[in-house]
Amino acid sequence: MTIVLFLLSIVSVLCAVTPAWADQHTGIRVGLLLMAIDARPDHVRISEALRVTNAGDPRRVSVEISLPPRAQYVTFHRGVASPVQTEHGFGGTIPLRRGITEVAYSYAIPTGSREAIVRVLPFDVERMEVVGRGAQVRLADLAGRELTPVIVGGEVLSRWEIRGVRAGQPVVVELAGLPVTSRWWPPGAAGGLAVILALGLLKGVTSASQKS
Amino acid sequence: MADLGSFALLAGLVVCVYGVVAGVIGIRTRERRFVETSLRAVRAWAALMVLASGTLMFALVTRHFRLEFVAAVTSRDLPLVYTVAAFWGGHAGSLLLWALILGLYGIVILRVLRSSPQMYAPVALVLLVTAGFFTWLLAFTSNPFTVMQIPPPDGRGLNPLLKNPWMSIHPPTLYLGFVGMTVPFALAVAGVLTGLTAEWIKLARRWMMIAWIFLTLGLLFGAKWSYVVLGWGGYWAWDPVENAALMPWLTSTAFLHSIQVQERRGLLGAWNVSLMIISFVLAIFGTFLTRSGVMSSVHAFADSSIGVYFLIFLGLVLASSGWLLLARWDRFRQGGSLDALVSRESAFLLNNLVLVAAAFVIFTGTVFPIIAEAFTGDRINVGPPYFNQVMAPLVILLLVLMGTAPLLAWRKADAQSFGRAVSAPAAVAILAGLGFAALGVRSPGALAVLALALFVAGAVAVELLHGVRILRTHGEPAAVAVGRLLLNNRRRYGGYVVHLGILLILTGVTMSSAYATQVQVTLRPGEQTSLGGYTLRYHDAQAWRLPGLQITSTTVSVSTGPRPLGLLRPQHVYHEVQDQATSEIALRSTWWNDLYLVLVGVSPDRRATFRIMVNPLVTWIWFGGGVILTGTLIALVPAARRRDVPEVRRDVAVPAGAKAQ
Repeated sequence: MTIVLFLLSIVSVLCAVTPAWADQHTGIRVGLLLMAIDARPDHVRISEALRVTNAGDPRRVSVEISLPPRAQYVTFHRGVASPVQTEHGFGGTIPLRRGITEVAYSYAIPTGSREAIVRVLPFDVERMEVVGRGAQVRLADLAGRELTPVIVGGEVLSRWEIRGVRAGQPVVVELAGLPVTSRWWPPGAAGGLAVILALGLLKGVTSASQKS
Repeated sequence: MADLGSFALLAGLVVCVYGVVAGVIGIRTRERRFVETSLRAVRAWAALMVLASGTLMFALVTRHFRLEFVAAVTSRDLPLVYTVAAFWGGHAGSLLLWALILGLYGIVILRVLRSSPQMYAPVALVLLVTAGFFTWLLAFTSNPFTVMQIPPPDGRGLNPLLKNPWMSIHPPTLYLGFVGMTVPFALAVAGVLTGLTAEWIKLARRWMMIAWIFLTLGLLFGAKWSYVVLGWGGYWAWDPVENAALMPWLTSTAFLHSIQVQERRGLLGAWNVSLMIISFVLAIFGTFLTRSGVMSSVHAFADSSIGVYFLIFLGLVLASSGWLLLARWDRFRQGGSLDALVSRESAFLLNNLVLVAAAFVIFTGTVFPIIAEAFTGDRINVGPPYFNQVMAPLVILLLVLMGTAPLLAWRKADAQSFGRAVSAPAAVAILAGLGFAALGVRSPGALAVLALALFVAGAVAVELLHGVRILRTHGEPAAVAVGRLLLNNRRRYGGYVVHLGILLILTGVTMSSAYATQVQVTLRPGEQTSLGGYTLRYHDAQAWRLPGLQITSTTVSVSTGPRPLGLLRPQHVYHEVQDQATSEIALRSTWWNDLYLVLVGVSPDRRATFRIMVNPLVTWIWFGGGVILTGTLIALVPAARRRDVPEVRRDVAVPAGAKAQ
């Protein structure tokens, strides 16, 4: 009985997340979500590209996509019309033509040397691919698998993929070896300089007093 | 990049503290190597400020948005010239500019002082204490190298009001003046400690003049910016920040006159030192007003909480300078006294009192709102009527002194010779006054200023003719005599040229204040209106967008009588990123008046509302600035003294035209 209630609660959660999409979107499927992670000092910039296939007539669909809680500087590159900020991410309209439409946006997240980014999407995704640059990337999900790294401009980019991601299913992307800025050297070096100068001054004063 | 800049600031602070300690030890023990160490500290500090400034400039140019400062004042589409100007477009950057300029001044003055090594230590000490204060502010309260964990994809961009060529040069010029006051202040301290020698007087005068000319230009550039950018048709509003720059200008102007009394007669030593200290304090006060956000101002583009630190620093400067002055008061008792009430030194003293009184009333009017708020809780602003009413008689008195002082002899003026010298300029002034009145000038203030301006110009001409006549007695042709006179008395005649520049400015200010006309009209396309002899026909309005901008532009043709003068295109620009609207005025300037056109708005049916102003003689103000610069440069160039050319002076009471002493 407990298990049944638990399963029912998951279904209700999934329904709550996806009703608009499910109602509006017959004939629409998201074939690919490409998530490119660019590790930079103290933060990562994440670009997400969706490949949406529309088998029906051209139409405009409303969508609300949640982003990781600390996402900042959301930038829309392609496919989202009139985006607005919402409590958990952004909402907007996607004008879909017949066939494939690409949607792309990016955002940044502050990070330490390790980070786990949880993505929950409001629609099913047939294949999700994660590409990492400048850090070790892995998908924590058991269903995820590592792909052959790709070499771009002499740089090896690690790749992971997961297939059949359900709407509302959390996908955890683990990042390690992220670059973190150390802020100790300016005060450290200035402190060192202070010590050297103080010692020099002390020596000068001592020798002057000895002379006198 | 941020680390390099932060290191430069912290190391700069360390070097300052080290230099101050070494300097104090050097002064107390008279050990030369400690003094030399403090000098090296000044140079090292200056080098570190150059490093910090270079780092910040590089960050601005490369759009290093990880720095909060860069993200706040630049954007990717900002042109290079404004990217450079963005350095002082924000609070932290402008403080770094202060430090950079102080460092450069420090290097130069210490090099100049090689011939006066006794002044080394106190000058270096004062520079280092001031440097230490600003470096501390930069390192701990207003660090331009503060990093953001995530850089934004683009910066907010420079405040639209600052995107103007005049604003690119106004702050650095003004800061060259403000910071330049540190050098005379350092020399004042050195003078009190080591003695007010002839070498000291020469240095003090020269360095005050350098700071003064930059302050003058800074004030004029700011006025020009206000005139062409803010769209209100004026250039001076007795704004707190404007006043803050005017006050040290007035006290330094007083000093440049009274130092001559000290040079010639050995009088007013303590007064001159006090003026140097007050000018520095007022310069710091000006920086405090601009940077603290304590007063709302159209010129203040920064708001920060550093005001309390400035007040503490000001208190320390005043207390230590006052104590030093009192402790060494005996040094100033050796001077003589005024020989006669009517003499050039008396006129200079009176001129000083008027200038200091002017600075005082401006100070009172500027800080009154803060004091009123402290006591009553309400901010009561003192507006332009107060300043205009109080300043007008002082300006008229100054003009009288400007005209009479050069005609008075040093020590004791002979009434007869003075009467003879003053009669021609006075006659010119009276006739001119009557002539202006006949031409329709009815404002008593304007009449007085115009007549007195001609009186001063006449006095300068009398002085020049007097000198030429003396040289001609040595057989010089007139043209050669004029040239030799100017070349061999550069300070005196440079000063007169400066006076002529001041006259041009005062005339421009008086006429544009008293006789400006304006009207606000709404016109349909094809309709026309007239003002001040100009006919303006509104043709059409266009609207377009550029990235981040919504621009509405109108086309207006201008003619005077049947003669077409061209097209003017006033615009209204909405800056989307800053959510700020600005008016791009259209201006047609001539020597006699400015036609100043502001687009107030355009309605959907293309009716446009304009504010049209005709401001007389405004160009004279800007031209007067150029004349002042020319005069100052003439006065700053050391005179090439030749033994065979007699110096023309009114050292003693001599009738105009008599042989020089």
